[in-house]
Amino acid sequence: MKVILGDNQFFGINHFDLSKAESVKKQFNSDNEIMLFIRSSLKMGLDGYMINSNNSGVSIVESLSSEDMDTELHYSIPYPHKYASLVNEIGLIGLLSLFIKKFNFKNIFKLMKFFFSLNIRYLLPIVVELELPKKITKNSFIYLQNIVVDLILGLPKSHLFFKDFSHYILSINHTPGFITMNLQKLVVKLEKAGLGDVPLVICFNLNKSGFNVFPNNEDVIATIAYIKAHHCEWKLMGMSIMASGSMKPEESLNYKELYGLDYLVFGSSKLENISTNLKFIRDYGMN
Amino acid sequence: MDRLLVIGFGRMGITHMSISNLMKGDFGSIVILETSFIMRILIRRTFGLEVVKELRRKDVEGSIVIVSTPPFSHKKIVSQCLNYNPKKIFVEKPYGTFTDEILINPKIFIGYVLRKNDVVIELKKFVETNPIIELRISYHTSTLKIKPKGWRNTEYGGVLNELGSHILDLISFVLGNLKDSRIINFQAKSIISDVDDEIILELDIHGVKVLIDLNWCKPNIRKPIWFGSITLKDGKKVDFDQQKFNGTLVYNGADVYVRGREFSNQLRSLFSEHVDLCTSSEAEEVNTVIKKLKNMII
Repeated sequence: MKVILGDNQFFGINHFDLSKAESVKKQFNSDNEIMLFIRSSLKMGLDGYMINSNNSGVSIVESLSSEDMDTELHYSIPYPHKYASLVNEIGLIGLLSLFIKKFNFKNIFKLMKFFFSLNIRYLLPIVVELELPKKITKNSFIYLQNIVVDLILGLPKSHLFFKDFSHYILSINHTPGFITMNLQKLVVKLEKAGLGDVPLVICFNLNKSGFNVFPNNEDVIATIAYIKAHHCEWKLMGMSIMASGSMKPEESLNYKELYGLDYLVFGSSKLENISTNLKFIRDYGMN
Repeated sequence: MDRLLVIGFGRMGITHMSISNLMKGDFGSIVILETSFIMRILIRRTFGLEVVKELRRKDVEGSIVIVSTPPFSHKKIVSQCLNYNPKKIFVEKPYGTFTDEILINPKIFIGYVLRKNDVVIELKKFVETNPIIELRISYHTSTLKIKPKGWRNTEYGGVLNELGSHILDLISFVLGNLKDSRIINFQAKSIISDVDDEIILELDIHGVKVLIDLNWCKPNIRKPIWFGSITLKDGKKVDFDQQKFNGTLVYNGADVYVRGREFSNQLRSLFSEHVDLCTSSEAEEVNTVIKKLKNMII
């Protein structure tokens, strides 16, 4: 099992303590602070880091990729709040116009395909390209954020979006990933998209207390067993494994269901916590 | 089998449609009403959904109707829908703010989603058995970064309508109602838009001092946050925020998660036999307070 550094602490995200999120964000007030923290964490033995495609994420990936080639990069797109704000400010049609205005001329055929079909999913490669840093390391893992995955999950034909996304990411030599809060329902769509034998990663919430695990731990654990039995190419990543800090680390990490997964991702604003948690995970995983 | 009609396919329309379908995938039919020609084509071609440009009796009759359009359009749409005998109508908040009068009907429910937040439910239970003298609540977001275009920069927009209506309904839900509320102090300020971006408000509701602070131009906030406190008669203070009550995480789960547990639980209630969402008459109380305050700004 691989252990990945999460990025919530860098960007003021703490699902348990909103005031703590703000103070921690101040600790990481520059890209350099974030890069130093990532480097120190990796030196402790973490297998890689996850980061989102916000402004800091792009510059950090571009700076780190040249020096840390052996590290696994798990990059999530898009930065949802940027688009939510844009929808508020210019509306959905305005957002669509913005994508078209920003497109790279080499994507002309993709854009033409969109204009002829008027099917939004043909814009997906253009949007993905806009979100990816230019110097991203080959063989990285590119995830579609849960705010997008779960929003379109309930729409008809959403499996075609997942199919196009996966094939596009594979075509540019990366591995596709999906972050979701609705594991069971995503699996149905991925199978419908014919992605059962495609290498991909699914990242979802799982923790001992069941905090933000949907619909519940029992069903998620059953879905994990189903995936392991039917989709050997898929990798599974557990997130929110310490219930967003609502449980003590040693209590939350003492949960055997986590150790059947391929990846665990967690974050902390303190290097000593990362070291302690990593040691606990490695020791527990050995037993 | 229930039939679903979604009117308006913007951000909230898509969210409600997605949750509905994830939670209850057995609708007899799903129809989208969208007035934008381009959006109609995009929705049809991309998702294969049935999209119409105007209200038809056959789409409304016996259906659950979700209205996700701007507030100034609510009265006309809801009135037309009621003529066609829908099963239920769910209207995104704020309900028809600033129309002369809103339609009151037991079939109408309003999307004041904080009623389905686990902390708010806990807060209500606590206040019912522990009389309070003061309720403080702040709601901050970074929604506005540049001056908004369209209706959001008119009297139909503003932080009081967008966030304040949620908070006023939360207070109504927790304290019983907003009837006889008195405005003690009110300050409104523009920061980015041409309308109100920051509000400081003090109300007296049945002897309870209510202090509200709204601001949707806080650039350092990543996602909307609300938090506050209650003061009991004995002076004891209890803090809360959208996740915790008195320092304890309050979490009751949901079937699916798209934008928040409360959005799923709101629609779960709408599809049930006994809907416990905000009614149109409760929404009218919120509108009455907002109208009084808006008149003070003008």
